[in-house]
Amino acid sequence: MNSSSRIWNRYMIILGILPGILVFIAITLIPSVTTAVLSFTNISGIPGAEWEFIGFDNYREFFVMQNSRDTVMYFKNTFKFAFFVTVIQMTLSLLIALLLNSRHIYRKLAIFARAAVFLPQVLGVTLVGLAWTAVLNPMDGPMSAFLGLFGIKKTAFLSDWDHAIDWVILIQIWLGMGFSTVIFLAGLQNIPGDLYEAGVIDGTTGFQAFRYITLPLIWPQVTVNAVICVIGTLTNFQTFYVTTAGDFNTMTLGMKMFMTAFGGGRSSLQGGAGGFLRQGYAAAVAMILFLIVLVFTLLTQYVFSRKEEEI
Amino acid sequence: MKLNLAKKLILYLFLVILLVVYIFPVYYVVNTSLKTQQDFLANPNGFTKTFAFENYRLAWKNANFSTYIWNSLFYTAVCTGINILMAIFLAFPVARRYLKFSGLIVTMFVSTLFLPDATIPRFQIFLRLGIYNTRLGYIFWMLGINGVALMFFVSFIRGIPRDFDEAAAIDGCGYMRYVAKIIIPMMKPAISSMAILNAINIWNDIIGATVILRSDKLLPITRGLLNFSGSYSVNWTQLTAAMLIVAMPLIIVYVFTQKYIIESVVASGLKG
Repeated sequence: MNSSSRIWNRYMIILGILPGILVFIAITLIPSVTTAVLSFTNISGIPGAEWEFIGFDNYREFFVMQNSRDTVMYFKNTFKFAFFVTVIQMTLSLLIALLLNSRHIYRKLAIFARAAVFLPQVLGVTLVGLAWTAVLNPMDGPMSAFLGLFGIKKTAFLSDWDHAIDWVILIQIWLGMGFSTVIFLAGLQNIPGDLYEAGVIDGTTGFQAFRYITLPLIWPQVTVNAVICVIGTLTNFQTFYVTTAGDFNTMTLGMKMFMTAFGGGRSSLQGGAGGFLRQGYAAAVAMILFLIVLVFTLLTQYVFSRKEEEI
Repeated sequence: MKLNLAKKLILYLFLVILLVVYIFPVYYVVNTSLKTQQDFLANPNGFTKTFAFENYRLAWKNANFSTYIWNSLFYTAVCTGINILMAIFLAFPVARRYLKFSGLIVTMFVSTLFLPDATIPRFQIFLRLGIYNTRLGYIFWMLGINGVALMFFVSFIRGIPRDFDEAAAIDGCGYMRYVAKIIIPMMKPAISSMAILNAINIWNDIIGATVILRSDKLLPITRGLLNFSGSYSVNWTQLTAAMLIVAMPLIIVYVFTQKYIIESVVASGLKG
């Protein structure tokens, strides 16, 4: 302890942190932990409704009693979305970062392109989702016309029963790209240029320079991006909420959790409540999702730190 | 030399593709919003022949934006202000280690990323407190210190010399006054970038509004836009105009502060 903290009234310091700590405990910590408790109840979102503890019934319903085709679909969609978004977004954003960091590209243009790629992050999921709904309009929308140039027959895009989720994956990648790109760019800009010059003298090729100089040095950024992307995509439901509303075989665990608890789907966009707001059951889905996120986050961190040693 | 030129051309080709992919949807929305309904139906993808600003007037009226925009400005200003103040008063003693559990506090805030989703119990608590479907309820819903913002402030405050604290304390400047009058003005760059990021998040929120607000007259503008898209889903000219009305404040802020926004995202992402 130093002199200033001894002179200042300790209670004033504590008074200063109190609002932040209280809000954290009351609005984040307690509710978050209580999710586990509510997953063993049949509590509903309807005001004044009675509720009681029902043991593992919600979990049993999810895994055993409900149509297994639905359960399998939630898992399949959740993992498909998380896997493809993470892999494609990481790969493309690293390539984009390398492109924008290239000394062959005119600097001001690179900065403009960085701002353009980051724009969706500022516009947010609602505007991005609606803009893409317009671009993917099956009735003579621009994507439809564009694909027509290559002789690809008309599809319903976001209302296609077999492929709607692929288009949501595309929208999510477009939306999330800005974040991972600027993180990679910052990592690349921290690499001292003389490392490459030394490489040139040693006769390294472009790919070797990437593999043995660039990649090891930006590995911390690769790990950060991977963890953020895995968590973000596994828990995502906002992107589905504004594009497909979970229709057309695009229901994921996150979306199932949210829609069971608060209604949703197309009817709610017009103000209808919809559903019975079975929040005890939804809390069980939230807990299942939590365990999945926990396992995959630890797994991602483990895999990437192991790789770090190899590299 | 020739090889270099070919390489350059290929790189620029990729850059052009990238720009088209990112600018086209924005262009398409702007272009559509300027078409009359007939123009759009006859020629959905071509360049607009009209400047139908009428769409904006109709969208403003039909989407009820005159109510929502004041709600959004109010929620955004109040929540951003409170969140930033809470974060500063927490970050300062943590950065200086004036409290015993300084390290633990930061860990606690960052670890929320891994906790179970809090939405359902939070809704139940708000329902029982009687603040469901009230402005107060929505403001409380959007309160909270972002772990990333906390770390950003902590590292910024560490750059301010401790001597200032001691000099002020010895001169008899009280703690609260010191933070308010000396620390906050010195943190201006950090505060403005975190405030912008926080304000963007609140402006863009739809989930909190969906969960806690039912009355139409309380909704923020982004949630209002989503409702409008439900009932005007075939009226693309008005819907795109409505989207641009909601996007306008974001785009204006972004154009002037994009460098700071991106840098602060980078700074916080690298620490996380």
